[in-house]
Amino acid sequence: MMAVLRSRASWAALWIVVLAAATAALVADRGTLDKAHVTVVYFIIVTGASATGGRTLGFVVSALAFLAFDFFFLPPFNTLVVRDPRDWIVLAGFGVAAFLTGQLFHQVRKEAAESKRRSDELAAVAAERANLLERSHEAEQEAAAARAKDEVLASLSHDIRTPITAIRALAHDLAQGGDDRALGIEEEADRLSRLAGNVLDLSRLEAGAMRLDVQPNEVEDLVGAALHQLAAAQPTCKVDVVLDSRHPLLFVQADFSQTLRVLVNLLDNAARHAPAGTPIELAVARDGDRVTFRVSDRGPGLPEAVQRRLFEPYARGDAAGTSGTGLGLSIAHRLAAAQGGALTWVPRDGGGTTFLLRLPVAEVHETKE
Amino acid sequence: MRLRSFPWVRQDLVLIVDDEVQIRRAVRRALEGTGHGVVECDGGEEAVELNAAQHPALIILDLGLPDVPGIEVCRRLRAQGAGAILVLSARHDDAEKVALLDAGADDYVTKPFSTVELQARVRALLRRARRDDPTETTLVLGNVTLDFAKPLATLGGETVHLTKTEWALVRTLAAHLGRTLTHKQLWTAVWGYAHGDAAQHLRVHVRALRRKLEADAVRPALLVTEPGVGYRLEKPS
Repeated sequence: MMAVLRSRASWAALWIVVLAAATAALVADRGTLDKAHVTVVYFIIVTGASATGGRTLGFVVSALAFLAFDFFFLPPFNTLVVRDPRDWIVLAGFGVAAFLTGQLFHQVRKEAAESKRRSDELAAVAAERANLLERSHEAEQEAAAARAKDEVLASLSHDIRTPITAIRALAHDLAQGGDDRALGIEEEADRLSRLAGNVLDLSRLEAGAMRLDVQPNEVEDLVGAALHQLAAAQPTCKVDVVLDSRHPLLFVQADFSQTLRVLVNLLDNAARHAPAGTPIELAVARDGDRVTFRVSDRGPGLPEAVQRRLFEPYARGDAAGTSGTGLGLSIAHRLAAAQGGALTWVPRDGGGTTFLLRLPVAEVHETKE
Repeated sequence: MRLRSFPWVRQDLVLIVDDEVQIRRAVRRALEGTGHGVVECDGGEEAVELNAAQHPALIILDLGLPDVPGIEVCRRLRAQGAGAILVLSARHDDAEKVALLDAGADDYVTKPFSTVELQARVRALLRRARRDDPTETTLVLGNVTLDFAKPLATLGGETVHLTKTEWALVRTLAAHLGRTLTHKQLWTAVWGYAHGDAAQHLRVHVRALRRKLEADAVRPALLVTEPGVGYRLEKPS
């Protein structure tokens, strides 16, 4: 801005000096000059001032030239009086021509500036478009890479199940023949299958590509199904269930199977860490627009090293994923978040750990027959 | 819906359909000692032909067949009037299980399954196929008795009042005792159509039934949830 002002002031000073110098030169030879000569010289100066200094300078130089023309070159000299009425025509013609010249230059400069601005804008838009195209191309490449990765993992997870089924069947035959190593083969085959499935699910969760069937599901149904699955995995485990007596009909907005998976994971973890003979507790309560499932045990609690990386993949510690793949809790954590909920933990009063699974409540009202 | 019972079905025959020879071998070995004859094939078209020609009591059908999609084979077998269909699937998503059951499969086992699990499913399906419609008689499930003729329900000898919808629901489940019915199959059987809140209605009525018939509604032993798929009525062991 300052540079522009300095530039305009310089042009103004220059053209005023030129006007003064030209006037002095013309005055010195006033007797031999015609009014037309003066008019041409002044017109050139006004044009130059308008072209270089803008409309304001053009007007100022026009006004000065007008006055100088009248004062020095129209009789009687050295006064602003105009004796001959025809000189008024000359003077008015000069004034109008000078004004129009200033205006014209201003218009041309304005249009040039506008044209440059548009051109700059177009260049900016073109650059932005090129940038967007590049980013879009990169995003497409990333998406294609993610799809390819997902397909490979899905294919691996799918294809690995058939040979594992055959391995399990062979292990069963070995067990029938009295080979007690067969159980180990079956367990490891299962673990391999779970690992493949978990890696696929973790990959989908991290890419936001996990398909979830989120709909109102009844809490008691979820709890019953979780206890049913836990009983199959840990038949001797005792679970104390505390439901929310204030809300006998309680629904969560969640995917049934995946929420069940999280609950079974938490219950199974708790069962593994609870000392023999101590029950684990599953308490469910509505808290505003959330339903909280609390799974508590009287185990040794979480070591500090485990706490920091509890929900990170492969962060296996004493409390890591129950599936033996080191992915159980990290998948549970992401599944909770993917359903608009959260999975957290707190140390339990009196010893042990409490995991809290929070999910959005679904408002459902009992129908009367 | 009623149990399918076709007089031409050969109760002593099982058809195994899988393109993986190791899986066919594993299934065949699992069936040894059950007294059933076994026929095998590795494609969907051949499975449909074999079913039409030999009428096996049970078809163990792999979903990943090279010639025809497994779910299509399932539909065609069901349209032929097949016996029980047990599907073997390497996929674990609920939507596929629901689609299979809706297409006429009676049960499914996901890979990798254990021999013991497969044997249990096969026994249950063959037993079910031979049984009369339990809703024509009085059904005893542990300490619950359901007399569909009167109708009268008792728990530990005490009469339990069931609403009209609850009777329709328990009757549908009892007619397919031990078999998982999808939410859609239950809606259609009980309500005749699926309205906007059908799933929620179903869950509310299942909850009410459990509170009336189960010894502990939080640990249901009779009315079991198949996660993401539906419900089944089980006879306590």
